[in-house]
Amino acid sequence: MAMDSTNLAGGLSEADVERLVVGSRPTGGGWVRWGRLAPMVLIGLALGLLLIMPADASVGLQTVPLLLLMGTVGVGWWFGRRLRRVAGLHAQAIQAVQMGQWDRAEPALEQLLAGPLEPPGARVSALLALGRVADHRGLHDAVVAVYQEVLSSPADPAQHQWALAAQANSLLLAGRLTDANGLLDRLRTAPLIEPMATLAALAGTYRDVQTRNYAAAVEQADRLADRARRHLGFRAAYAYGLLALALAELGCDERAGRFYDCATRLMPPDRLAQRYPELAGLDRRLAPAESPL
Amino acid sequence: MTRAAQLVQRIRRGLLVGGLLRWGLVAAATLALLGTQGPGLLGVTPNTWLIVVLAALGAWVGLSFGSTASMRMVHMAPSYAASGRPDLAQQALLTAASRFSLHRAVPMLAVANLALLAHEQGRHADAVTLCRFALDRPGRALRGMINGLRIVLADSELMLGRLTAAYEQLEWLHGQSLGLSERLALLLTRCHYEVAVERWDCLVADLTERAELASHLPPVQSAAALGCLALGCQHTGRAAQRDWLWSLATLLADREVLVARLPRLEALPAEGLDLPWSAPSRPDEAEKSAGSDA
Repeated sequence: MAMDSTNLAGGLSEADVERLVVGSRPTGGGWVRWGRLAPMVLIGLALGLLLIMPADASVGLQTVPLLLLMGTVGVGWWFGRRLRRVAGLHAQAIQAVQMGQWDRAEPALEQLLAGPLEPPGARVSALLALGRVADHRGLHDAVVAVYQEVLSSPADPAQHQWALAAQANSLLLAGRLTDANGLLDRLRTAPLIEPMATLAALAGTYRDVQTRNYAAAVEQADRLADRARRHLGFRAAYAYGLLALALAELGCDERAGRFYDCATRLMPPDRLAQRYPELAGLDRRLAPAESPL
Repeated sequence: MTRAAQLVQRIRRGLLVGGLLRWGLVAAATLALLGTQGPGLLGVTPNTWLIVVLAALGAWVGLSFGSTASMRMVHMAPSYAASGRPDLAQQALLTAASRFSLHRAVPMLAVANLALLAHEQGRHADAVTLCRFALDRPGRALRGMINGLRIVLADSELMLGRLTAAYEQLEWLHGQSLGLSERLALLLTRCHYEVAVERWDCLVADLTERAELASHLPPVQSAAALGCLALGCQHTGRAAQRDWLWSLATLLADREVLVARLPRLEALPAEGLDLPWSAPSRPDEAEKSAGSDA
């Protein structure tokens, strides 16, 4: 079941996400390149001017090289200020996303990605953060587009793998089962590192649950649960929740209940259902754990 | 002398040479700029002095380009470590720290990152040496890392059993404005410290907030923090909260792993959460058992 691809909780829309992705693409003569080149050009100009300047040149002409040197300092100051602003917005956005403070992350990302963003590494990590915000808003088609942009950008292998695993999940949530199948088949043979390998396995289990192939979903239950526990931390709740649903559908209520207990210790039922709509209502069939905190 | 101490000594020498060269270039450029203002300073024409200014500036820019390659290595190191290759990260950082650099930012950042890596790998004595060197004269380059380095220093001192040294760092950090990653790292260190000095009431004072914050840590660290909170609940008579927190901790990591990390967690109930799955044997374990069978 695909979620409706509209803006669920205000804030970003699909059009906004597309605007930020396209708008942040680096242009050939980006400010980072000019910020690096300009001091060299100014020094070169000053040196050239000195070499061709006649000995009896006017005072005004003699001050030009000095003015160029001052220009070098000015460009360096502007470049440093701009870099600091980008670094500040970047840190603010990433931190907010890590804490799940989506309303704080959005404005920072909007400012950061409003224009061409360099260096490429900063843009890729900002796009990954944008993908998580859009994912939270339920804009799954937009999330797929964001991760596609990451995959076509120069990123480190871990970021590429993260984008692949997350894209498979978003394709399923967007209801694009055929595309998701193709990607999951590719991921099955790809040498993924952790936790991306476990995230890809989780997406595979979600596909089985979505297509009501519950027997296939629980076939590797022990292995998936163990890997999720080792590599996903609190996000392992999603794996336990999906396995609980599959087991409940197969009539294994006792084991399903124990998996659901594990899932709801880590995350409340409404957050599980927000992630995977199939898990909505499972708390009426199985008893969730109740926190005394 | 440990390898970390040898590295620190080498970097100290490099910093001295870099500083002398830096100030030498600045002095030459300043003198030359003065020479451009008046006719015939030291018998040299103003245009020649201007060429000296540009030569000094060119040397500065050229040497800075050399430092850029080292800086790139420093920036690559965290992604090596994140992709499971701490050996490559360490190699890159050692190379960057050992190379000559005009700017002190490069070796200082390399040392700071080496300290973080040593702490992650459990080499606490090395982490202490490197942190103390970096914090001695952090400069502008490490301005954003000072809190993080102090947390690492506090944790490493704690792991070496030096409670007073750890307390000094925690006291310094008290009231500082901390970022998310620093707050998370400090949470775990504070929990360890409060367990070590048996301040159970402090440990459980903000129980819900601390448990919520711990959920953002990586699994084993999160479990360790929750284990400490469970221990605090045990000592303050909160049995229900203790059982909940300890079940969460053992859901995130094996009890043995947590006890090996912090032996005082042995006092918590032996039975954690009964997991509804059996851990499949890993390939390395299977090979080992096949070897012993043979």
